[in-house]
Amino acid sequence: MSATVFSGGTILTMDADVPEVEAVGIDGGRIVAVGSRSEVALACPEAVDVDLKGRTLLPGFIDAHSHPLWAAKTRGAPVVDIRAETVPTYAAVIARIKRRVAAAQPGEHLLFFGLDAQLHPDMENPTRAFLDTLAPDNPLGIQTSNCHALFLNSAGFAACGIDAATPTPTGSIIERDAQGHPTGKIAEAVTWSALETFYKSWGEERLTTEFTAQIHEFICSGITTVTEHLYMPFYKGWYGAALRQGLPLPRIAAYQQATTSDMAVERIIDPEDRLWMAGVKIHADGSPFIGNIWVTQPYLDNQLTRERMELKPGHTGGPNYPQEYFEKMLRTYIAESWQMTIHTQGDRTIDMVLDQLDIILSETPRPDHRFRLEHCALMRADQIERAVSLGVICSFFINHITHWGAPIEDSLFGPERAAHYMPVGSAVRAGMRVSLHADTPMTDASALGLIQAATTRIAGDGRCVGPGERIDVATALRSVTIDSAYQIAMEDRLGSLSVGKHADLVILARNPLSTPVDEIAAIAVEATYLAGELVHGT
Amino acid sequence: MRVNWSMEPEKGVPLLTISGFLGSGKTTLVNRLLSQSQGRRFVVFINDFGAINIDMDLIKTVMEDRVSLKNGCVCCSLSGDFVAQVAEFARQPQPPDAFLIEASGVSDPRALDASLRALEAAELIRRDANVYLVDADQFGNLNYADTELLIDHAAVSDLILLNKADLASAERLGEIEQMLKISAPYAHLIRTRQGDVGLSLLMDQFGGAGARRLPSDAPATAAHPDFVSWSRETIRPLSRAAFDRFARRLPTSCVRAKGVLMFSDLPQRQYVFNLVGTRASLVQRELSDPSLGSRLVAIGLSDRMDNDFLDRAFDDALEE
Repeated sequence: MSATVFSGGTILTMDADVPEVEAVGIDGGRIVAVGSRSEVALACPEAVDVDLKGRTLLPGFIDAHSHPLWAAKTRGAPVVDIRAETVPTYAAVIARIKRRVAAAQPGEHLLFFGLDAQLHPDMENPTRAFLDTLAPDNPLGIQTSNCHALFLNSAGFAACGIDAATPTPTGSIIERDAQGHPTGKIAEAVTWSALETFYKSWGEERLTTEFTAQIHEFICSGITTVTEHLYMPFYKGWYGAALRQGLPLPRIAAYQQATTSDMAVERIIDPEDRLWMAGVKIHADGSPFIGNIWVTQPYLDNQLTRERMELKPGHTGGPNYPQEYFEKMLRTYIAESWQMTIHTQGDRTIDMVLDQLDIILSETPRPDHRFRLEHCALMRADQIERAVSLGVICSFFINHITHWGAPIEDSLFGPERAAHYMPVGSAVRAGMRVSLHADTPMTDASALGLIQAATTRIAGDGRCVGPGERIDVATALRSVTIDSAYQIAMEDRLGSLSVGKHADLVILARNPLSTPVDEIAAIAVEATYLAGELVHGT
Repeated sequence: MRVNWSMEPEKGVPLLTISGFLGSGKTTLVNRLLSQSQGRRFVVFINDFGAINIDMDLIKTVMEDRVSLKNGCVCCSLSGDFVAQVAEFARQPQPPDAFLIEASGVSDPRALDASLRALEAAELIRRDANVYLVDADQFGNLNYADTELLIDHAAVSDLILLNKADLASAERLGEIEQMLKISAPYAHLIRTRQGDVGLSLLMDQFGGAGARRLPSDAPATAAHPDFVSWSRETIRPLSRAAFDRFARRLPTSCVRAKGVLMFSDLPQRQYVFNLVGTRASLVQRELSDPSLGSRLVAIGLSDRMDNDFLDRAFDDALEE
């Protein structure tokens, strides 16, 4: 790997001290010089020159909350895509399922991804009995687009080993009849363990292919670091294999999923920073789109919430785990000094988490804990203030606005709460270093898409949801580079073009700072460098 | 029903995409449009440039990647820098009346989306209908995954032409139509033979920037028995909110609607209303003649459009 000097375009370092420079030099996978053309040339006398030709050079993007391996499992073939984008109604979903069942091999596991109570206007909750009429013999599962729930037929329940005698794991949901027999729908952690049965039935080769494709998508979007935010111990083999094969795997910050307070979390450290254990993730609540989040003000009461989501009037949801159970997990992993990232959507959940954290920190103070709240859909203004004073940082799932903005405002929470849904602007004004994420597989990986979403907040039907929560492009750029590096505690090695940091770079066709905000997502990612090597484009 | 509602003035040259699987009749349709442009100037981008078969009498010049016709239409290869070429045409002093993009046989019609979005954001084009051709004779002969891909493509289009309808049995046509009505519920469906979609209908999908035609008469639909039209005129101003509700119900029955409107809250202004598929726009303009009031024309499939319903719904939109 020879030294390379980049010049001839706009270079945005994301380093506040020297925001723009003429040239950047890299060598041995690290950034070795930043400054004027002559300074960098002096520092890298033998370097190969790369002419940016007017293009814009930035540090590689960091998605602070996604699931690369899990995305490969969840979305790639033979999973059948039934998201509303191409299968617009529940009737069309059922028609597609029928056609797939007709083409199925005996015993083949059939899985469908993307059922959506908000976007499939005639959505019904398929019962186990109904699914048995569609597929009497094949194990069949339908996963919701928010990933949190799964509908199974009888063969599916049998294959996953869930029956009347199976206890419901704490933190999960198994809907049952009076005799305790599962009636079709399961949700939360039990969903993700049940799905492993499907993934395993398709073999390892399929997963290797899909994982490679998923890695490629991140790299082509200029994302050089991404978290695996639902890491399970057996994932290590897959990541190890990808690295051994020399695949251009983005750097992986793993956050292991905790569902009990006695899980072993391996301290994975890599001198090259390609894969490390960054912390522990707990789901304090679920998804606003299936109703299992905990809110102080009830959901709206209308046809969508009653019939498609099956919520009762006045529904305020609840947390995933009993409070004492959750607190025990929190105390355990904080005591083990892990960085904590807590999935919180409802404001009542955020109250619970901040209350508990407040007590724990007062008992056992920890100066630089970087305690993270994830997604933060309905976080209130007073909670943002409180989070900042506690040193808590938020990673926002801004693509909720682009993908589900209209039903969020019209059907779930009303205009007042929608105006501050994913309150990125308020958090930034309160002085918080925020990050943004696509939560792939829930939405497709694109850091530029995140920037456009946070700066425009334009929903699918063209409306702006919460104009007061928009942020400027410069802040949005920081939230997918240096500030997300801060959130994964790697700001000393990643996130800006600074001497000594890893040479992860992205070259864009246009400068996002001078591109109209509604064109940012369409800016071409012309090249991606990972650890100094060109892994995409030219 | 989703309606993508825009209150922004329409800018840019209308662009229509024509896609479909290999052999579904795209080239035949494009040839038909080129040779019967009826005075409009089209710029056509074709993926399989060699396959285009234009009557020699119509050709003015032939270059490596571009054929110019005597009627002013131009046919380009899609292989070059598509965005730059479209931009070049759109920035001409007299831009074309429309772009037609014929996407290649098996490619994803959404593959061009990023380029089209960028062109649209730059206000060089505005996306008109996405037309998708299905070969009624060959449909179902592909494997499961490819057939589903075809259905995905149909579902994201505005208008499905069930082409080669003369080659399939009535029973088979019925089955395909039934399947498409369920799986592509927002697309309109027309049976065609050799792409013989009523030319005026497809052309009316355009409201070319320089050649915007306002509906004075109902468009001719006699040539196509599947279509009916509905029109209304009134000198009473419309309630904006009530018209909004009316317009949102239109796509369930209409393929296309167009009109000039006067609203009670701004009676000195006139608005041009345009609905193509599920995309509606309302553009303000200076009032040329206050006595004109409002006029609205809609075209729809005969089995979906209920003129009595539209009459009642329109009456509801009139200011008391």
